[in-house]
This record gives sequence, C-alpha cells and structure tokens, in this order.
Amino acid sequence: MSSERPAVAVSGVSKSYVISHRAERATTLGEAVAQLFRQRSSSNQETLYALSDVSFEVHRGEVLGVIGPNGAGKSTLLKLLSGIMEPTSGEARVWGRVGSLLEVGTGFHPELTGRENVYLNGCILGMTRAEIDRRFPEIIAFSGVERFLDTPVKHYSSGMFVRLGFAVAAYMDPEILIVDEVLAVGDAEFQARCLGKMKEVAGKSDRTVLFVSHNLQAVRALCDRAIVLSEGRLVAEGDVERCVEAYLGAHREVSLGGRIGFERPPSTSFWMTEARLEIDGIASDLCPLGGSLGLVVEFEATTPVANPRFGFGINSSTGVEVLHANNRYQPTAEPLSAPASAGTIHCELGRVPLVPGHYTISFWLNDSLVDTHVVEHALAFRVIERDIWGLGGTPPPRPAALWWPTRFSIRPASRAEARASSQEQRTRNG
Amino acid sequence: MAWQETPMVIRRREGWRMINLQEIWRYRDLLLLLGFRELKLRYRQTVLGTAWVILQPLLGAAAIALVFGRLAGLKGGGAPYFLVAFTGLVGWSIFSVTLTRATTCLVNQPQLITKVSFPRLVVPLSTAIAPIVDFVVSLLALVPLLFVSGLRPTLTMLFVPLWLVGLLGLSLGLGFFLSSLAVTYRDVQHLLPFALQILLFMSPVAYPMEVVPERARVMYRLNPLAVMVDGLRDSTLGRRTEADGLVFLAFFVSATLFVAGWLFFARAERRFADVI
Repeated sequence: MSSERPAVAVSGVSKSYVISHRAERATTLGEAVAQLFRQRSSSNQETLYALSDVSFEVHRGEVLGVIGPNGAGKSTLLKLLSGIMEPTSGEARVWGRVGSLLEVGTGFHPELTGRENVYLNGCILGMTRAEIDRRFPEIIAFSGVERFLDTPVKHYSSGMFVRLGFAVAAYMDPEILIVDEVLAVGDAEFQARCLGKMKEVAGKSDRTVLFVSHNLQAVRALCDRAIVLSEGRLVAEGDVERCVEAYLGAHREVSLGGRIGFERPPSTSFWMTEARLEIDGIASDLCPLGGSLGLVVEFEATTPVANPRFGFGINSSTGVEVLHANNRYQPTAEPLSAPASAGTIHCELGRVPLVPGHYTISFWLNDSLVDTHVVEHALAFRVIERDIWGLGGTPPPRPAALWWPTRFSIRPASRAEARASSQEQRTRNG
Repeated sequence: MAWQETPMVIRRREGWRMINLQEIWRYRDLLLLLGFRELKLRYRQTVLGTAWVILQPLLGAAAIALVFGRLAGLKGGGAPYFLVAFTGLVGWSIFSVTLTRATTCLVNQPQLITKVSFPRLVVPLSTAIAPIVDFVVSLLALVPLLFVSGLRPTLTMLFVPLWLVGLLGLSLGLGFFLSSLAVTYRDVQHLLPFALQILLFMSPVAYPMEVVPERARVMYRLNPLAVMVDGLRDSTLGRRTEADGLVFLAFFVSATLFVAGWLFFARAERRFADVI
C-alpha cells in the first residue's frame, strides 16, 4: 500500500572521504601540526566515494529493499538517512519520525540487567522512559526473556541478547523504519519472527520501511520495490525481481575464477582469508553438468580454535537457496587434532546435480554459536551443459533446480502378469 | 496520524550552530540513564559496594593529612588538616573525574556514534551525573566530621551550589572540547592525566591557600580552579569568601568555557561518525 506522497526523497547524494596514501593522515596532534607546515601534496591523496550521486524516492507506506554487494554503500546510505552522518553533497528529505536499527542492542552493557538495558537502549533509540514503560510488557513478551529480566545480560546466550535487542527496536513504532542487516544474526525461528514483525510494521498503511539485507528471500517476501547499489552508485531501481536479478548478475563478475580473498573483518577473532572453488579437482568457476564440486577455505584466528564450524549455501540466480551444508549438524570426517590458529577447511560435495545456470555461494564461519565471519554470495560459478552420458545431446533447460542422476530400470512384465492385468482392465471398463 | 508536511532536510551543514537546548531536553531520559549507568557499574563486583563513594575521599584525605599535615607540618588555618584535605579533595574530584570521563566518553563507546543518532552532547554531559552524586554524598559525610572536630555547619554552606556550578562549568566546558578532539586525536587521553597532575599541584587541594606566599597569591588565583576549590572549602568549613574581582573572573571563565566548549562540540559533532 503506497500513496504517492513521498516519505523519503534522496537527490544527488554523495559521500566521499579523502584518504591519504603512505599513511599520512594525521591522527595524532604531532602529525597534524607537522602537516600544517608541510606543502599539501595532492598526488598521494585520493577521494573515495562511498556514495556518488544517488537519487531515489520512497513513497509513504512503501517497503523498499536496498541490495548490493559488500562495500556498495548500503550502510552509508542508511547512516545518512538516519542522521548519523552528513552527506558530502546533495540532500535528502525525510517526512516523519525516523527509527533506525543499524545494530542490535546498541549501548547494551554486559553488567546491566535485561530490564536496565531495555530502558537504556530504548532511550538511545529515541524513546522516552514513559514510552518504554508503556511498551515494556510487549517488548518482553516478544523477546521471550521474561525469566532473565533481572539477570545481567553478560549471562545471556547470544540468541537471547539479539532477541532482546531486536524487541526494543521493534516497538519503537516510527513512521519511517530503517533496518540494516540485523536478520543476519539469530536463529531461524527468531529470524522468522523478526520478518513477521517487520511485515506487521510494513502492513500499516502509513509506515515506510527501508530494508537492507543480503537475504534475498527476505527482500522478496517483504519489499514492494528495491534499489541496487554497486560501488556507491544506484544501478537498478524498481521491481524486486528485476533488482534481485540485476544484483546477482552484476555480482557474477566480482569473483571470476572461483577464488576470493577476504579482509579480516573488524573486531573478529576468527575469520576466513580465502575461499576457492575446485571443479573436478581444478580451480575454476565453470562446472559442467554433473561435475564434482569442492570448496577450500583458508582461515586464521587470533586464539587457536578447536572446532571450526563452517557452513555454506548455494543460491540459484533467482535467489533460492538450493543447497545447504554445515558441519555443526553433521560429523566432520577429519576434525582438528589440536586447536589451530590457521588452517584449511575442505568441503567435498561430490557430483552436484545442479541444472545449468548461475549460482552464488555464501559462507558462515563460527567458533561456537555466534557467526564470526559471514560472507553472503562470496563466490559465483556457472553450471554449463554437458553430454554426461554420451548420448550425443544435452538435456533441454528445465525450470527445476536439480537434475538428479537417477538410476532408471525398466523391466518388462512377465506373460501371466500381463494377461491378468489386461483382463482386470477389461472388466473395469466393461 | 498527522503526517508531517515539512520534511527534515539532511544535507551538509557548515560552520557554527546555535546551542540547541530543546534537543537536549528531549533526550533528558537518556542523559539520566547514561549518568546512572555509570554509578551502577562503578561498584559492581566490589565487596564494599557504594561505601566506596565515602571511603575514597576519606582515605585520600587521610593520606594527605598524614603527608602534608603530620610529616610536612603544614597548618590547616583553624580547621583540622584532615578536613582541609577532605574538602579540597571533594572539589578537586568533581572537576577531575568529570573531565576525565567526559574526555574519553565518546572514544570508549564508538558504537553510540556510528550506529545511532541522537544529540551527542548528551554523552559528555551525562558524565557529570555520577560525580555530582559523589559530591553530594561526600558533603553529607562531612557534617558528622564537622561535629567530631568541634565545628558546626554554618550558613556559608548555602554558597556550595554556586561553587558546584562553577566547577561543573569548568570541567564540562573543557570536557566538551577534549571529547571532540579525542575523536580525531587520541593523544588527548594520554596527555590529560599529565595535565591534571599539574593542575592538582596548582590548586589548593592538598594544602590550604594560606601556604601560597602573599605576593604570588594574585597570580595563583588567576587559575579559576584554585579559586573554586578554595571557595568551596571556605564555604563548607564555615569561613566567608571575599568576593573580589578574581572570584568573578573565575566564574566568568567557567561560564565562557562551558558555552565555548558546547559550541565547539556542536560544530565538530557532525564529523564524529566519519573519523571515530
């Protein structure tokens, strides 16, 4: 439900940073003073655009999905609209109270109890004590942590922590809700509840939602419209399906060759450094129909990890996850004999029955319960047609997700059986 | 629901901004919660708990009285040296604790800057709440100490809030400056303890004002902190303060620092999320 009145109008917004090479940026007073007396050389300074000349509108009551690869400027855009940062040029207009949820549980303090943190977090998000008082029972019911309200949150499981954090934000009740990738955390059941709550918010006719997610299924389920950002530019806008296609299409170029290196994410103690695809034992991103697929992931950790948990999912170009595997729910054939601070995870999938098309692979790495490094759609590969069985032709394209190598057996019926069945048919017809 | 017809415009703002008290008032609940969070957290996992609020200045004053009163043989000017040290410490603490907390409050909680939007000034402002509570508790503890020493609380106590406001103006004003500087230049937090050490020696905290030679007194009292700490001690111990030009100067400096610091902070805050 959307009216033609805009809730958010972004026009020509850019955000740039000037970065100096050779680590010359003054971060100490001494350097700043030294720089005052030095000739400013523009040669080793570079302007980096997190967003460049982005314009779009969101109508009142609309749910807009914002998609794009990591570093495309999605979070920067949301921070600008939330009033956390200022754009370098251009302007955005916002009609109504903005509530933004860029992180779950901002300001939560481990030593404070659940109750104390609800109030603190609610106030940080812009609610008054009186408003929180009114919504407190609902918040607690939604979070499901009633029994631990007066326990310091340091004793909470990561799931409880996230639930409480989301619950506070869910009851902010703003006119414009801005949500950044918060569904990447928490268990599946809770994610479903969060999506449900967001649908409820979106369902109210005068509520506008801007939703950033890598979860394309969630974007499909929730959003009326989408925009795609890539390298700070708006590359597609409009119909959700078309945007998802455009995003996955653009993304294929990124990891050509079936290999990708990762930077260590900030504040992570356990992370992937590289991931590569092996097809029929060779590094590649082209998989002939029925080819065997292997995945090799290099990891590093600041403190040795005894039980690396690794999961991956393969998504088709329509965004459906067609395959998922995780060593948290199945035994590891060759576990680590001793904790290691660096190593390699080998995943042998064997022959994969995927139909020809484009696919992306997402990774989840963690040491216990919390995902320490998640990269969605990190690698892309293509399954191409091949005459597997040497029949001199390839199967025609089908809308199915899998082309299952089935053992077909066809046996003729024995004579007595054949006669009996034909007699039976005659009596039934007669 | 009435739809707002005039939009909020988000664009790059240049230059100075007016002090926006309304904005801070809207976030008064956050201000209080942040302030009391500090109080709650400070004595978690301690055996003596909130008793530390009183124990800290008592132990500090005892140490000073021993070193300066007994060993160095300084005179308290009519009052027991212990009380001179205690009242000096109360004034010094509210200044130094507020300033230290305010300076590091943004740098220590970057997620408040990068993940949520609210008037950032609330954060350094809230750092004064816990020291104010300490201040009040310490003065309540002073009353029985006065009786024990044969003194009585007098009407000069009524001037205490004035000194409190003056001390808060100094510490918050400087705190606004230093907290926004620390976002870009972390040196500030390392420089601060050193600067505080010098200020401590330059103020009549561990010794009474009378120790300062008469001819250097004017020079010495140009330091507004010295005037405030001395004034607070006089008012709590029942002595009159002569409201000379230097006292007015001290209050003028305090008010100016507070307003200038606020303006500086308001100008700097829009860059916080970019550089923190």
